[in-house]
Amino acid sequence: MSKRQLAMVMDLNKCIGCQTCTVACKTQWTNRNGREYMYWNNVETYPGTGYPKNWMELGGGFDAAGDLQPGVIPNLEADYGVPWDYNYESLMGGQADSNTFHPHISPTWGPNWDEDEGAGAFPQDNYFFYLPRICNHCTNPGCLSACPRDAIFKREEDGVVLVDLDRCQGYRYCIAGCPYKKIYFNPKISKSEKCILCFPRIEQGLPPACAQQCVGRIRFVGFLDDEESQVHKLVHKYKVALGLRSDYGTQPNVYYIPPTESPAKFDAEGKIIEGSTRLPVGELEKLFGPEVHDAIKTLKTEMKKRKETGVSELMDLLIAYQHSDMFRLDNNYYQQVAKENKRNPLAPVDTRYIAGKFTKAGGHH
Amino acid sequence: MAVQAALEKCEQYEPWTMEKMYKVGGFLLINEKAAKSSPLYSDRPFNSNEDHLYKMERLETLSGRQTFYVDHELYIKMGAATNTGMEGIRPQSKDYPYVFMTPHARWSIHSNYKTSRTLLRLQRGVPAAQVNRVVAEAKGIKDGDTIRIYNALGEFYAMAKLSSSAPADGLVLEHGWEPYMYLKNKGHNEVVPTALNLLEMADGWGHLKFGGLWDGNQYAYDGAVNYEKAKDVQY
Ligand code: SF4
Ligand code: SF4
Repeated sequence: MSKRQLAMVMDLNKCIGCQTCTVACKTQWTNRNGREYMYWNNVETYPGTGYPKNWMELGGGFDAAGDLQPGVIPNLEADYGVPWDYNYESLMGGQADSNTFHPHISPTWGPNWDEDEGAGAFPQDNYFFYLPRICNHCTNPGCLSACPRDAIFKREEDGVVLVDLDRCQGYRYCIAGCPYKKIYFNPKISKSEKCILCFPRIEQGLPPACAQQCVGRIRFVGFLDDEESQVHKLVHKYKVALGLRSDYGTQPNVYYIPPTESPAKFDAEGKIIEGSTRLPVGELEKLFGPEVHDAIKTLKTEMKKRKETGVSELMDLLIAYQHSDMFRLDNNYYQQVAKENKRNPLAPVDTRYIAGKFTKAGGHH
Repeated sequence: MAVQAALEKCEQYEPWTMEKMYKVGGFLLINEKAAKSSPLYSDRPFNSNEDHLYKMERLETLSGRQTFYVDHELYIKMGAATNTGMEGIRPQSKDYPYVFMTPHARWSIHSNYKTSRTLLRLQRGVPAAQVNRVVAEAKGIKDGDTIRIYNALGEFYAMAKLSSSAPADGLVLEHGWEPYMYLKNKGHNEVVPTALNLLEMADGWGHLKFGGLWDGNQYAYDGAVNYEKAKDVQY
């Protein structure tokens, strides 16, 4: 366990599935150098098969006794999907033969393949919602436990989980060990790579790109031990933000406000069934555990209170009137850490990611 | 040549010339005349309708206001004097029992950005249509299959997405795909009749005489189609 822990809270009632977060992450970190197929941030439609395909059934994580569980390494073609490319040059010639512009392979899978498909029958009880996912920067990371080379580390100062690329030999045990399949193998450099929680931004007091760009204003970022932080209030004070599949035993640090606002069902005549809700609460329990019932109760109570009295700290928090009110980060803190550890406060605090924690001067290069 | 002509004709492009555009890397900045309904500021975002909200300028409608009631004979005759929900004009035919719906796309403004690789990889990479899961299964169509969508006017191909949110009597395809992105270069408009809305003809033509933002109205959702698993082609 690290001294401090950064956390992100995502309010699923507000996610519109626009994928701005995905593109923010993709264009910043993963559109090049063997990372093309990786989506450190992806947004999938739930219920659905997700990305990689059926990730919830691929093992990893820990059992109740704390033992690491075996897991499967997804296949590029079948489970992630080969990132297809296009014959853009064909658009220049002005020729109008058949299917001028097309992907170089038949697309078979991708990070948002089952977008908007959902479950139920139209129009009686069809439903779906969006589930944005990044690495959970777990307190007990399955990826870290699975690595025989001690190449994955969790930062003391904020709990960010990183791969030491110098130590990583590309064995891929980490991929099997992560129950969220949020660590990926880079075939170009034969090493594993994952979400770095935009640590170069965080260390400057800026939120990760996915959170900064989020159109729906669903993402809060801060330190869990900071009682003034939005994440502390949502996770610990009001207990309305819950980990995804906490039953995997990794103690995830991305938390979700469960989607509570689903419309009512219709009967055979197309009339509203009063008091019904389309989104089966059993599904939410599967994702967020039995605590979801209390979380929903608190959210509904506060919503009602807000409607009747106009006052609710929780609702104000979730509305997020100012985008800047969603983040509590502190670059002074990182400057302090750098000073204490006698690192250069002007450079990114963590140079292990690029230089290697165990790299000796004049080492193997 | 088109750019040259535009530069000469449009006062919104003043004082830009071809040479100046080359120098800065192939673009120009439009001037303050390029905006409608609000000034174009150089230092803050454009917000529409400031002229009407703050300067009380007339809207370019017959009444000068937002118009929700038109008592023209033809409007009254067609039951459209005020905004009214109506049955689509598509043929009620057993051969083509599905309404063809083309809602606005999530990321593109019409066809803008439609060929972005980054965005195409976030969907199916080819034009995809949501079809009702139960109906599609009865037709022997699986998710990811290529389907042929057709009516008496024509046909085109799309990848099927079996969805719980598509109505049983409809088919949903985001708009904005260019014909060249489809198999056989046949775009989705192949099956759309695009009938001119009769209300256009009130008082001659031009939605009551070609006002400021006239744009030739058609009927929404006038396409009735059928679909089947494509036989010899595949995306
Ligand atoms: S989500 Fe996966 S990759 Fe991220 S820290 Fe947890 S176990 Fe590791
Ligand atoms: S940017 Fe925000 S609203 Fe859009 S998909 Fe991502 S998390 Fe959801």
